[in-house]
Amino acid sequence: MPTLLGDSEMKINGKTIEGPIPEVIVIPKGDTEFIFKAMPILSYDEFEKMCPSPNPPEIMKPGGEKSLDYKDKEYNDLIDAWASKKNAWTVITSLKATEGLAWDTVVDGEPDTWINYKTELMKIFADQEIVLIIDTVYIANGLNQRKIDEATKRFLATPVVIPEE
Amino acid sequence: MAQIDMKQATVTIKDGAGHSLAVKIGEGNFTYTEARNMEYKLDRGSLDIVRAGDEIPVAVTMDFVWEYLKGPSSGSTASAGTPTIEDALKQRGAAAGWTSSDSDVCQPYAVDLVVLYTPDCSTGDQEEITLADYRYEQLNHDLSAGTVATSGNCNITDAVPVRSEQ
Repeated sequence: MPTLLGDSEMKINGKTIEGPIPEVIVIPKGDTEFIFKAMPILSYDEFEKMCPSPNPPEIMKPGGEKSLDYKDKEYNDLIDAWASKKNAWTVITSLKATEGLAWDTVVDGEPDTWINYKTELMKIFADQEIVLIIDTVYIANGLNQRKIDEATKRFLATPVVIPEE
Repeated sequence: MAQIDMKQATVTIKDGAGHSLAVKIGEGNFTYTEARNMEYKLDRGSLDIVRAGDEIPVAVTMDFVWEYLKGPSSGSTASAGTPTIEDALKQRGAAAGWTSSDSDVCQPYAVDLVVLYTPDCSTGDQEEITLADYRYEQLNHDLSAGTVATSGNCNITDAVPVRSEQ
Protein backbone atom coordinates (compact mmCIF):
# COMPACT_ATOMS: atom_id res chain seq x y z
CA MET A 1 0.00 0.00 0.00
CA PRO A 2 1.63 3.28 -1.00
CA THR A 3 1.97 5.84 1.77
CA LEU A 4 -0.18 8.77 0.79
CA LEU A 5 0.49 10.74 3.98
CA GLY A 6 4.14 10.34 4.81
CA ASP A 7 5.71 11.69 8.01
CA SER A 8 8.32 13.79 6.30
CA GLU A 9 11.24 15.14 8.34
CA MET A 10 12.91 16.64 5.28
CA LYS A 11 13.67 20.37 5.55
CA ILE A 12 14.51 23.16 3.12
CA ASN A 13 16.04 26.34 4.59
CA GLY A 14 15.30 24.94 8.04
CA LYS A 15 11.59 24.66 7.30
CA THR A 16 10.04 21.21 7.72
CA ILE A 17 8.36 20.10 4.53
CA GLU A 18 4.77 19.11 5.12
CA GLY A 19 3.54 15.70 3.99
CA PRO A 20 2.00 15.31 0.55
CA ILE A 21 -0.72 17.87 -0.08
CA PRO A 22 -3.83 16.85 -1.97
CA GLU A 23 -5.03 18.66 -5.07
CA VAL A 24 -8.72 19.46 -4.87
CA ILE A 25 -11.28 20.06 -7.57
CA VAL A 26 -14.95 20.83 -7.06
CA ILE A 27 -17.38 19.93 -9.82
CA PRO A 28 -20.80 21.53 -9.36
CA LYS A 29 -23.68 19.51 -10.72
CA GLY A 30 -27.18 20.75 -10.00
CA ASP A 31 -27.43 21.44 -6.29
CA THR A 32 -24.52 19.16 -5.46
CA GLU A 33 -20.85 19.96 -5.39
CA PHE A 34 -18.67 16.93 -6.00
CA ILE A 35 -15.32 17.34 -4.27
CA PHE A 36 -12.50 15.24 -5.66
CA LYS A 37 -9.18 15.02 -3.84
CA ALA A 38 -6.09 13.59 -5.48
CA MET A 39 -2.99 12.67 -3.50
CA PRO A 40 0.47 12.17 -4.95
CA ILE A 41 1.50 8.54 -5.18
CA LEU A 42 4.82 8.12 -3.39
CA SER A 43 5.48 4.54 -4.37
CA TYR A 44 4.53 2.32 -7.28
CA ASP A 45 5.76 -0.82 -5.49
CA GLU A 46 2.24 -2.16 -4.99
CA PHE A 47 1.44 -1.66 -8.67
CA GLU A 48 4.70 -3.30 -9.79
CA LYS A 49 3.91 -6.26 -7.54
CA MET A 50 0.54 -6.76 -9.21
CA CYS A 51 1.61 -5.76 -12.72
CA PRO A 52 5.33 -6.25 -13.33
CA SER A 53 6.52 -4.35 -16.38
CA PRO A 54 6.91 -6.58 -19.45
CA ASN A 55 10.39 -7.45 -20.67
CA PRO A 56 11.30 -7.31 -24.35
CA PRO A 57 12.11 -10.64 -25.96
CA GLU A 58 15.72 -11.63 -26.46
CA ILE A 59 17.25 -12.28 -29.85
CA MET A 60 20.04 -14.77 -30.23
CA LYS A 61 22.09 -14.78 -33.43
CA PRO A 62 24.24 -17.62 -34.72
CA GLY A 63 27.32 -17.69 -32.52
CA GLY A 64 25.30 -16.92 -29.41
CA GLU A 65 25.30 -13.09 -29.53
CA LYS A 66 22.24 -11.79 -27.63
CA SER A 67 20.29 -8.54 -27.77
CA LEU A 68 16.85 -7.29 -26.76
CA ASP A 69 14.13 -6.72 -29.35
CA TYR A 70 12.31 -3.52 -28.35
CA LYS A 71 10.46 -3.46 -31.71
CA ASP A 72 8.70 -6.79 -31.14
CA LYS A 73 4.98 -6.30 -31.82
CA GLU A 74 3.79 -8.56 -29.00
CA TYR A 75 6.08 -6.77 -26.53
CA ASN A 76 4.80 -3.38 -27.67
CA ASP A 77 1.19 -4.55 -27.29
CA LEU A 78 2.01 -5.73 -23.75
CA ILE A 79 3.69 -2.41 -22.94
CA ASP A 80 0.60 -0.52 -24.18
CA ALA A 81 -1.70 -2.66 -22.01
CA TRP A 82 0.66 -2.30 -19.01
CA ALA A 83 0.87 1.49 -19.42
CA SER A 84 -2.90 1.68 -19.62
CA LYS A 85 -3.20 -0.27 -16.34
CA LYS A 86 -0.55 1.90 -14.69
CA ASN A 87 -2.43 5.01 -15.71
CA ALA A 88 -5.74 3.63 -14.40
CA TRP A 89 -4.09 2.52 -11.13
CA THR A 90 -2.58 6.01 -10.71
CA VAL A 91 -6.03 7.60 -11.08
CA ILE A 92 -7.93 5.28 -8.74
CA THR A 93 -5.16 5.20 -6.12
CA SER A 94 -4.66 8.96 -6.17
CA LEU A 95 -8.43 9.54 -5.89
CA LYS A 96 -8.60 7.35 -2.76
CA ALA A 97 -8.11 10.64 -0.88
CA THR A 98 -11.64 11.62 -1.99
CA GLU A 99 -14.03 11.21 0.93
CA GLY A 100 -16.91 8.84 0.25
CA LEU A 101 -15.73 7.78 -3.22
CA ALA A 102 -16.67 4.15 -3.87
CA TRP A 103 -16.35 2.58 -7.29
CA ASP A 104 -18.95 0.10 -8.46
CA THR A 105 -16.94 -2.12 -10.81
CA VAL A 106 -13.34 -1.16 -10.00
CA VAL A 107 -11.76 -3.75 -7.70
CA ASP A 108 -8.41 -3.06 -5.99
CA GLY A 109 -6.65 -6.38 -6.61
CA GLU A 110 -8.10 -6.98 -10.09
CA PRO A 111 -6.08 -5.03 -12.69
CA ASP A 112 -8.53 -5.78 -15.50
CA THR A 113 -11.23 -3.82 -13.68
CA TRP A 114 -9.17 -0.66 -13.09
CA ILE A 115 -9.91 0.83 -16.49
CA ASN A 116 -13.64 0.77 -15.59
CA TYR A 117 -13.15 4.01 -13.64
CA LYS A 118 -13.56 5.87 -16.93
CA THR A 119 -16.88 4.23 -17.77
CA GLU A 120 -18.15 4.95 -14.26
CA LEU A 121 -17.14 8.62 -14.44
CA MET A 122 -18.72 8.89 -17.91
CA LYS A 123 -22.10 7.86 -16.47
CA ILE A 124 -22.16 11.00 -14.30
CA PHE A 125 -19.77 13.58 -15.65
CA ALA A 126 -19.31 15.30 -19.01
CA ASP A 127 -16.13 14.74 -21.01
CA GLN A 128 -14.63 18.07 -20.00
CA GLU A 129 -15.39 17.43 -16.33
CA ILE A 130 -13.65 14.06 -16.53
CA VAL A 131 -10.65 15.75 -18.14
CA LEU A 132 -10.54 18.16 -15.18
CA ILE A 133 -10.72 15.33 -12.63
CA ILE A 134 -7.96 13.37 -14.38
CA ASP A 135 -5.90 16.54 -14.76
CA THR A 136 -6.16 17.05 -10.99
CA VAL A 137 -4.67 13.59 -10.52
CA TYR A 138 -1.86 14.43 -12.93
CA ILE A 139 -1.15 17.73 -11.16
CA ALA A 140 -1.04 15.95 -7.77
CA ASN A 141 1.45 13.50 -9.21
CA GLY A 142 3.65 16.07 -10.91
CA LEU A 143 2.65 14.80 -14.31
CA ASN A 144 1.42 18.16 -15.59
CA GLN A 145 4.48 19.68 -17.23
CA ARG A 146 2.65 22.95 -17.99
CA LYS A 147 2.07 23.58 -14.26
CA ILE A 148 5.69 22.77 -13.44
CA ASP A 149 6.91 25.08 -16.23
CA GLU A 150 4.66 27.91 -14.98
CA ALA A 151 5.87 27.49 -11.37
CA THR A 152 9.49 27.45 -12.53
CA LYS A 153 8.93 30.62 -14.60
CA ARG A 154 7.31 32.33 -11.57
CA PHE A 155 10.29 31.36 -9.43
CA LEU A 156 12.81 32.59 -11.98
CA ALA A 157 10.92 35.89 -12.38
CA THR A 158 11.16 36.58 -8.63
CA PRO A 159 13.95 39.10 -7.86
CA VAL A 160 16.85 37.51 -6.02
CA VAL A 161 17.35 38.98 -2.54
CA ILE A 162 21.06 39.34 -1.79
CA PRO A 163 21.61 39.14 1.94
CA GLU A 164 23.30 42.22 3.43
CA GLU A 165 26.79 41.61 4.78
CA MET B 1 4.17 -33.77 -48.87
CA ALA B 2 4.01 -30.04 -48.14
CA GLN B 3 7.07 -27.87 -48.66
CA ILE B 4 7.27 -24.31 -47.45
CA ASP B 5 9.41 -21.42 -48.72
CA MET B 6 11.38 -20.91 -45.55
CA LYS B 7 12.66 -17.42 -46.39
CA GLN B 8 9.18 -16.09 -45.61
CA ALA B 9 8.48 -18.32 -42.65
CA THR B 10 8.96 -18.31 -38.91
CA VAL B 11 8.89 -21.54 -36.95
CA THR B 12 7.81 -21.29 -33.34
CA ILE B 13 8.53 -24.11 -30.92
CA LYS B 14 5.95 -24.10 -28.13
CA ASP B 15 5.59 -26.10 -24.96
CA GLY B 16 2.37 -26.90 -23.16
CA ALA B 17 2.56 -24.04 -20.68
CA GLY B 18 3.03 -20.86 -22.72
CA HIS B 19 6.80 -20.98 -23.29
CA SER B 20 7.91 -20.43 -26.85
CA LEU B 21 10.95 -19.96 -29.04
CA ALA B 22 10.57 -18.24 -32.41
CA VAL B 23 13.04 -19.22 -35.11
CA LYS B 24 13.51 -16.87 -38.08
CA ILE B 25 14.59 -19.00 -40.96
CA GLY B 26 17.16 -17.91 -43.52
CA GLU B 27 17.52 -20.75 -46.01
CA GLY B 28 16.42 -24.35 -46.02
CA ASN B 29 13.52 -26.73 -46.06
CA PHE B 30 10.69 -27.63 -43.76
CA THR B 31 8.58 -30.53 -44.93
CA TYR B 32 5.81 -32.50 -43.32
CA THR B 33 4.11 -35.57 -44.65
CA GLU B 34 0.59 -36.68 -43.88
CA ALA B 35 -0.14 -40.27 -44.81
CA ARG B 36 -2.89 -42.80 -44.20
CA ASN B 37 -3.52 -46.47 -44.77
CA MET B 38 -6.66 -47.44 -46.62
CA GLU B 39 -7.82 -51.03 -46.85
CA TYR B 40 -9.77 -51.98 -49.94
CA LYS B 41 -11.96 -55.02 -49.42
CA LEU B 42 -13.01 -57.06 -52.37
CA ASP B 43 -16.31 -58.74 -52.91
CA ARG B 44 -15.82 -61.75 -55.15
CA GLY B 45 -12.85 -60.11 -56.87
CA SER B 46 -14.42 -56.64 -57.26
CA LEU B 47 -13.66 -53.53 -55.26
CA ASP B 48 -16.29 -53.13 -52.59
CA ILE B 49 -15.74 -51.72 -49.12
CA VAL B 50 -13.03 -49.25 -48.13
CA ARG B 51 -11.88 -49.12 -44.53
CA ALA B 52 -9.39 -46.83 -42.82
CA GLY B 53 -6.32 -48.76 -41.77
CA ASP B 54 -3.86 -48.00 -38.99
CA GLU B 55 -3.15 -44.32 -38.39
CA ILE B 56 0.23 -42.90 -39.42
CA PRO B 57 1.84 -39.98 -37.56
CA VAL B 58 2.73 -36.81 -39.46
CA ALA B 59 6.44 -36.97 -40.36
CA VAL B 60 8.38 -33.72 -40.10
CA THR B 61 11.78 -32.90 -41.56
CA MET B 62 13.57 -29.59 -40.97
CA ASP B 63 16.88 -28.67 -42.51
CA PHE B 64 17.64 -24.97 -42.40
CA VAL B 65 19.93 -22.10 -41.47
CA TRP B 66 18.34 -19.74 -38.97
CA GLU B 67 18.88 -15.98 -38.88
CA TYR B 68 17.97 -15.53 -35.24
CA LEU B 69 16.12 -17.09 -32.32
CA LYS B 70 13.67 -15.03 -30.31
CA GLY B 71 12.60 -15.96 -26.81
CA PRO B 72 11.93 -14.39 -23.43
CA SER B 73 14.76 -12.25 -22.06
CA SER B 74 16.76 -13.50 -19.11
CA GLY B 75 15.65 -10.31 -17.31
CA SER B 76 12.15 -11.74 -17.17
CA THR B 77 11.41 -13.22 -13.75
CA ALA B 78 9.61 -16.21 -15.25
CA SER B 79 12.35 -17.04 -17.71
CA ALA B 80 15.82 -18.51 -17.77
CA GLY B 81 16.55 -16.66 -21.01
CA THR B 82 16.41 -17.66 -24.66
CA PRO B 83 16.92 -21.38 -25.14
CA THR B 84 18.59 -22.82 -28.22
CA ILE B 85 16.55 -25.01 -30.59
CA GLU B 86 18.27 -28.04 -29.13
CA ASP B 87 17.35 -26.91 -25.60
CA ALA B 88 13.71 -26.45 -26.60
CA LEU B 89 13.51 -29.85 -28.30
CA LYS B 90 15.27 -31.63 -25.42
CA GLN B 91 13.78 -29.76 -22.41
CA ARG B 92 17.15 -28.76 -21.07
CA GLY B 93 19.28 -25.65 -20.43
CA ALA B 94 17.14 -22.51 -20.61
CA ALA B 95 14.20 -24.74 -21.57
CA ALA B 96 14.61 -27.07 -18.58
CA GLY B 97 11.43 -25.62 -17.08
CA TRP B 98 9.34 -26.21 -20.20
CA THR B 99 6.32 -28.51 -20.00
CA SER B 100 5.51 -31.19 -22.57
CA SER B 101 2.84 -30.21 -25.07
CA ASP B 102 1.41 -33.70 -24.65
CA SER B 103 -1.19 -33.68 -21.89
CA ASP B 104 -0.24 -37.26 -20.99
CA VAL B 105 2.69 -36.74 -18.62
CA CYS B 106 3.71 -40.40 -18.85
CA GLN B 107 4.66 -40.00 -22.51
CA PRO B 108 8.04 -38.65 -23.69
CA TYR B 109 8.50 -34.87 -23.83
CA ALA B 110 7.01 -33.23 -26.93
CA VAL B 111 6.63 -29.73 -28.35
CA ASP B 112 4.24 -28.08 -30.78
CA LEU B 113 5.70 -26.66 -33.99
CA VAL B 114 3.90 -23.66 -35.47
CA VAL B 115 4.96 -22.46 -38.91
CA LEU B 116 3.86 -18.96 -39.81
CA TYR B 117 4.21 -18.36 -43.51
CA THR B 118 3.88 -14.73 -44.59
CA PRO B 119 4.08 -14.28 -48.37
CA ASP B 120 6.14 -11.34 -49.62
CA CYS B 121 3.26 -9.81 -51.56
CA SER B 122 0.90 -8.01 -49.18
CA THR B 123 -2.19 -9.43 -50.93
CA GLY B 124 -1.48 -13.05 -50.09
CA ASP B 125 -2.99 -14.63 -46.99
CA GLN B 126 -0.83 -15.61 -44.04
CA GLU B 127 -0.86 -19.29 -43.29
CA GLU B 128 -0.24 -20.77 -39.87
CA ILE B 129 0.34 -24.50 -39.72
CA THR B 130 0.32 -26.21 -36.35
CA LEU B 131 2.05 -29.55 -35.98
CA ALA B 132 1.21 -30.74 -32.49
CA ASP B 133 3.24 -33.00 -30.21
CA TYR B 134 6.47 -33.23 -32.20
CA ARG B 135 9.21 -35.53 -30.97
CA TYR B 136 12.52 -35.46 -32.79
CA GLU B 137 14.18 -38.72 -33.73
CA GLN B 138 17.27 -37.26 -35.36
CA LEU B 139 18.84 -33.91 -34.54
CA ASN B 140 21.90 -32.05 -35.72
CA HIS B 141 22.33 -28.51 -34.48
CA ASP B 142 25.25 -26.14 -34.84
CA LEU B 143 24.73 -22.98 -32.77
CA SER B 144 27.76 -21.15 -34.16
CA ALA B 145 26.71 -21.76 -37.77
CA GLY B 146 23.00 -21.42 -37.04
CA THR B 147 22.11 -24.70 -38.73
CA VAL B 148 19.53 -27.28 -37.76
CA ALA B 149 18.75 -30.63 -39.32
CA THR B 150 16.12 -32.67 -37.58
CA SER B 151 13.45 -35.20 -38.34
CA GLY B 152 10.77 -36.82 -36.28
CA ASN B 153 7.05 -37.41 -35.94
CA CYS B 154 4.02 -35.65 -34.56
CA ASN B 155 1.44 -37.62 -32.64
CA ILE B 156 -1.31 -36.46 -34.99
CA THR B 157 -2.61 -37.64 -38.34
CA ASP B 158 -3.19 -34.18 -39.84
CA ALA B 159 -1.53 -30.78 -39.63
CA VAL B 160 -3.85 -27.90 -38.72
CA PRO B 161 -3.56 -25.01 -41.19
CA VAL B 162 -5.27 -21.67 -40.58
CA ARG B 163 -5.32 -18.91 -43.16
CA SER B 164 -5.78 -15.26 -42.30
CA GLU B 165 -5.46 -11.90 -44.00
CA GLN B 166 -2.14 -10.08 -43.60
